[in-house]
Amino acid sequence: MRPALESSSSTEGIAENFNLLRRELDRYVIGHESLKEALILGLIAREHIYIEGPPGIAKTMLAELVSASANLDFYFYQFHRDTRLAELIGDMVIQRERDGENTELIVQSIRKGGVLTAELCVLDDISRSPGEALNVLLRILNERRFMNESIPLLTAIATSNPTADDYYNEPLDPANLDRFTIQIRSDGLIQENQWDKVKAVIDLYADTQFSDRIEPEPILNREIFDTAYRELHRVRVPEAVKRGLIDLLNRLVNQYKLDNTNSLITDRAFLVKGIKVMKAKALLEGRNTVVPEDLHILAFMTTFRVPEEIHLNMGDLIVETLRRIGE
Amino acid sequence: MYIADELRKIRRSLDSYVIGHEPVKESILLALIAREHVYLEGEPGCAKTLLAEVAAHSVNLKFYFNQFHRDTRLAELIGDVVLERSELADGKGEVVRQRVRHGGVLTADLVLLDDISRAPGEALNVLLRILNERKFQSQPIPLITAIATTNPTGAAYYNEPLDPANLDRFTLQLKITGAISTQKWQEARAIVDRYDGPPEEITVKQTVTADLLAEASRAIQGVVLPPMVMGAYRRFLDALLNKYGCNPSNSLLTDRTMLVKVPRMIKALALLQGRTTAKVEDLRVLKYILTFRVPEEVYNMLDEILQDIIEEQELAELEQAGDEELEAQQGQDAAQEGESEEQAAAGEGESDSVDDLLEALNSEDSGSGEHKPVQLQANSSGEPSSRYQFNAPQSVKNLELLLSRINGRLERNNSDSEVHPGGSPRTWKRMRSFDELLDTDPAEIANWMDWIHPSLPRVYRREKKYVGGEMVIVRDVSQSMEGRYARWTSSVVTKLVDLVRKKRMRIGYIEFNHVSRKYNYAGRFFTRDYDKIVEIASNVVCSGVTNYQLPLRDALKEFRARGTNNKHIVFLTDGEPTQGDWLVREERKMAKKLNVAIHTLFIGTTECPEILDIISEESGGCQFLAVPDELGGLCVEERPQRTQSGTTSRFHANNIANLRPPSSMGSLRGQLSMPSGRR
Repeated sequence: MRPALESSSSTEGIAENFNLLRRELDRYVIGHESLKEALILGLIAREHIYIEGPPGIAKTMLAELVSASANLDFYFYQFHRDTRLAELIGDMVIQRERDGENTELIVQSIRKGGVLTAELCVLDDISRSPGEALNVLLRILNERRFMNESIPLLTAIATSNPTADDYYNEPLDPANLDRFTIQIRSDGLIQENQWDKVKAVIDLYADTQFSDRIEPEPILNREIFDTAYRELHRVRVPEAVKRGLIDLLNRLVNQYKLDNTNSLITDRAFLVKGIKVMKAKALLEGRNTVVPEDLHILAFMTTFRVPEEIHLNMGDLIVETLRRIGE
Repeated sequence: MYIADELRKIRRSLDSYVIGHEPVKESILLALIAREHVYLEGEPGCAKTLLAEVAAHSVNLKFYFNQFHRDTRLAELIGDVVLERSELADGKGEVVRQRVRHGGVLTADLVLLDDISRAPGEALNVLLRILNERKFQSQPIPLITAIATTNPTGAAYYNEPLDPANLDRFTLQLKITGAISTQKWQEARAIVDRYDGPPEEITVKQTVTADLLAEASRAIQGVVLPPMVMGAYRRFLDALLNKYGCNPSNSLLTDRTMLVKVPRMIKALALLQGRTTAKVEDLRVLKYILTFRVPEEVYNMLDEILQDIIEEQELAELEQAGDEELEAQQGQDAAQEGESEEQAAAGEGESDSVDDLLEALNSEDSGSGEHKPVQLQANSSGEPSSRYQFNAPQSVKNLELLLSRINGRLERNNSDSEVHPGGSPRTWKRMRSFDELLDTDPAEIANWMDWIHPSLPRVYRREKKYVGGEMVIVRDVSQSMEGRYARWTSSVVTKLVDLVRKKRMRIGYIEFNHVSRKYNYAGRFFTRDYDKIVEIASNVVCSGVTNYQLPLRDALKEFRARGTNNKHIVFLTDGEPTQGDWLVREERKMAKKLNVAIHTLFIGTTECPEILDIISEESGGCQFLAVPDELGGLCVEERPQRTQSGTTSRFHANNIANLRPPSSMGSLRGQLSMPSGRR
């Protein structure tokens, strides 16, 4: 049976809790290791996650699994061309109040719902959303505020099909894309030639009639998330890691000629949030200090921020940086 | 000085949250004391908003924050609507009056307008008027400073540039860049260290009050602006206009800003430095003002220009004063300058350059060939020296003009070329469902609720930003294009494809001479295979004569089944039509009907066929001319619009039938008193 949950504040306890979540994901979805890891890092660090991939590769399923197991107030929305703002944030209200003998005050407002009241959101097929709904939504995600009130949202997981002719969607603009700290491009097992895993999927879903009843168990709770977030900020970032980060960015800009015409290397994403995600990685592995190898998580952030050929090279680039700071 | 000390506290709290960005910090302070508005433009994630927020928190002022988006409603900005009803005295009717209960911008001292370029036109209109007049319905409002931030305008950000009139309301304008993108690695490192800890609320001790700012504002009036500084500023303006070619078409140098606000900002900078007398180096405040008001290349040289002006000013005074008085003057200057380190350093700098000039003067006396003073003389007499030749034709550079103009049209989504100086006007549509409730006019919906009626009240029309659309490149490959023109045209096509690629528009490609060749892939004309188009366009064979009609017809036919807007044809040619209907009457009608904008680029030294102007203007496209320059490149210019009054109507009314064939186009041009096709 499952070990009893404890909202232990020790780093090991936190790591254990999130590893349970990881195993739950593994029960239903084969492969997609980096996607799973990215999801969990995003949850710990309270950053938004953007997943792009062709239809039918378990994007949505993973997002749903995470939300069900995380046991948070959660809101799932599938975007379509006619998504209306009211569906996302709540119903429109008009209030008329007497404001004197002959005068009345007319206030147009919103009765909060949807994204505004959820702790975790899954925004499926986000790029199909019409512009006006998307604008408001992304602003809310970014500020985590609406009409000057904080909202309870921890993490939003957005999925999208690749932008191309065949899918009726439009690319997110860079400023909006930057709001999603973690960005993952995912492909099917078949496209990636992972035949052993393909077989495992067939086994899993042929033998059991799983697809009808995916009911993951609630593993985490809000308290665990809060504890983890507190612990996250106690994680130490040693000098070598900071040096490595700067070295890596320096080489991206100088050697690989990244600038704001071909990429989106913002101070916010890489200097502030990058560190945060590295800390999440440390926590997930039960450490309270970041190690230089944690720089590998930067590959979860460069997916749509740098040209594709450089993103594909990120692994090597990071290894090279590790070697340089090791010297 | 007490005011300067207090202001330094704001500066310190800015420093404690934000690393670097010195000019932005200084200009925010300047804005606060001079009661001006600030406009910050920069890439995402470079602390624009944070800077503004910290500034807002470090003064004890009523603060209003709004992040703009396409759905920003006016009520969010200025307050809710109040409806006032009263019976008429005779009981035969009712007066309904609409007011606004002040809120938001109307009641705040300090306003932060985040992402202002995303605001819908109707909200922006009212907002900018309020910022400018500092009044709402003739009541003064308490606003001191508004800080607006925005991402760079461009296709990728789905925003629209503020038009110049709006931009002028923001006296201080700055570009802001990230530490990584400008390779300030030490700053980057400092940011990592600074934000290494837990997230924090902005907590700043608010020592600066509205009273202090008011006092500072009064103190600015008391700052002395010596004639020497004003003289230098006059020379600076003179240089901008006469030497660097700033004119109304490329710059925004309004009297309000340049003559009223700049002197005040010079004083404000002096005050901020704790002085009561302005100095020539306070002219550097112009760097915070001219950012988007002069062409970028002029702005990039501002430091040098200012330096030249300062040197010139000193030279001029030297000439006046003569050698002997000079010593005394220097002594006076030094005495005036007090003893602080900074000032002493500045003083040294001045006397250094004075020494240089003295030396230079002496060497002129000795009569040797090329000296500094001669150069300086030349500068001040308005002769352009070689490095200032912005107007010189540069084939590559001016291609940007064409791209930016066409880009502008693409961004505006259709062929509408009308300029709305106050922002785009508000338009209405009928309400379709109650989801649009927040977009209704409040008074109208209130009335509707009292007398419910099958026809729903009106709502604001929101326009969805449209990425997509189609562009067809129509390219002349007649015999005369052979060689240089063909190569050059290919590079134009490549650039156009890049532009289109960025916008993810579909593209079509047609080459024509006396026949028209359409390129199809897998049975489709419009494609997003941009590389293929570039490849095809780089290998052309030129032969034959010119027929405008066929390719235009081919292109327009393709548009028939496409969407409703953002349809463009770029027509590249070097010759007059010699076959087909040279007036392309049918095609022009078709273009109008289909709402396709046809942009024309005429290459060559011969007169541009007038029909190209007509095509462009009728369809709302842009028109350009490319002429070879002495360097062997081609230089793009805009062809002037045929805007002379009467010209167009006369042309349309009856002369169209009398137009002679194109071979005598030149005389036709004279007859219709057209402006020359080339500048």
